[in-house]
Amino acid sequence: MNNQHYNLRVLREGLISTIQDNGFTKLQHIGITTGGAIDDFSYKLGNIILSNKLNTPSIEFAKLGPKLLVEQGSLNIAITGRVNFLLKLNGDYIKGTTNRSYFLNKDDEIDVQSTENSNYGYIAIKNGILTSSFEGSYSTLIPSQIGGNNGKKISINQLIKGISSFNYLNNKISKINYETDKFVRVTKGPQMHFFKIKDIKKFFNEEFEISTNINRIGIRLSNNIVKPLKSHNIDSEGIIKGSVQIPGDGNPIILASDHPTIGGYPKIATVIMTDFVKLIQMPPRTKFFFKEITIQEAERLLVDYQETLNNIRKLLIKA
Amino acid sequence: MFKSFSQISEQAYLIDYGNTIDIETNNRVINHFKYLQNLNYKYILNVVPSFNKLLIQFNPTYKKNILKLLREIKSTKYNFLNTVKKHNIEICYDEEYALDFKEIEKNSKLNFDSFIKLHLQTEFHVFMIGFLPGLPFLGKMKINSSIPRRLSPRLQVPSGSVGIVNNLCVIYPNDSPGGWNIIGKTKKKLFNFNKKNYSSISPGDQVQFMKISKNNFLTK
Repeated sequence: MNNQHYNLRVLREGLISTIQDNGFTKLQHIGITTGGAIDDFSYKLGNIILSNKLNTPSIEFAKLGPKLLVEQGSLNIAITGRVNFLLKLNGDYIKGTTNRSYFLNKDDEIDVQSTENSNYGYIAIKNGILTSSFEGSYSTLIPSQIGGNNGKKISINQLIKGISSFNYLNNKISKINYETDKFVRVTKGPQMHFFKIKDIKKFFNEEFEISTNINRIGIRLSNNIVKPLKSHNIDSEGIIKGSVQIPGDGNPIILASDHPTIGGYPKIATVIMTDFVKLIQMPPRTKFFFKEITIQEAERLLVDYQETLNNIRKLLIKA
Repeated sequence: MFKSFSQISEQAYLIDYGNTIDIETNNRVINHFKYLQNLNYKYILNVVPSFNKLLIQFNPTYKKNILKLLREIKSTKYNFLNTVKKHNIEICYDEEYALDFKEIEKNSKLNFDSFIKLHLQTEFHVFMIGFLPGLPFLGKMKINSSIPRRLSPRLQVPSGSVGIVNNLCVIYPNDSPGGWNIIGKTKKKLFNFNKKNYSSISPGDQVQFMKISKNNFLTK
């Protein structure tokens, strides 16, 4: 038997499970978007818990996660996000706890049952996953069919492989505070001047609702229609994650990780990176307000965010 | 040379070269794009040219360096377009592939043969690559009437389809949803994952279409 590698058999694929890391750079000009883990915080947290490099590929799932059986080898995992899951360890089922490591052996199982009041979660694995890559990233980019798992979502019966862990890790993070306020902070978008003052006010003063239409490409909003003054189209230009674009019907779409590389809708605002993490986890029907801040504040918050990650690393408890 | 630039996020600048879709403006965008590509700085994460804008994504730790670079290129003229690549692309306009030739006739007020003639006469400029990996945006045809997008986009445009909106033209590199009016099909491979030069066509290149018969097309 070759126990140098772990093999996970996919017993249930879940709603949409993919392999993700930090995503792609320097390819957007040929039509390949940035991709990568949609919730940067939960993704990195998993790797911090396992003392992995921060860009180690993990399994990202949405709502209903995968069910995986260890067919060979042994591995340390950590599940992050707000997630309900069961583990089968030595034949016994236990309810799992997020933000701590578990050591799995042959015949053990991971059963990710649901995200709780959120959309996405991660299974981080010590030593990561052995899979296909493209230009240095293992992220699966489904619209372009490139990257991890040959550019495809994880599917039932397939194997997920990697290098076995032999040391039992017992790492955990004591407490993570998730922000639950009702504000999503934005900076001015490149076409804010396409909108009437009255509509810009409406954009900030009235509540939006997250629709049921959430995926890795974008988040559709409802409940507050804001229509651009001039045309519904601009000359197509390069677009970025977090951009709030307004199509003809006036219901905003916030671009997420797998957005197209260029787009022709006017963009009223850009969600700051630190709040994108909060926004992407808001389940359908969540109500919230946009709040405008300056670029300087956004930059400062991004520095704070990186500091928070560093501090969490210091708080890691290794038993 | 550009008009202005604005910071649109903690990690992106959008440079503005004007508000028209023309080759002269786009060439200024592409010159700066090629200049920045050649520098290949690690802290520049993406440089994305489009008709009249250039998007730069960067590592925010290096914002000062980017600002310095933007000031430097603002007033400098570069010339990276002396050696423009020309691509001859074979196209079959047979009705089996020209899914929207009737809409083209209706909107362009030309019969399809005259439209084809105009399409073949046009020396297309590659404005940008995007939307899908390797998808080129080409222009401009000498056509004055407006040819709008299809009211409801097709859920699946066949790979290799050549589409028209107004005086612009695209080629779909693979099966994909799309709203452009389809006038024919090519077997040219636009994107190759196994080669270092993934996209066979680059912004600033030229494209000339060459008509081939259905028989020829089928034996390719």
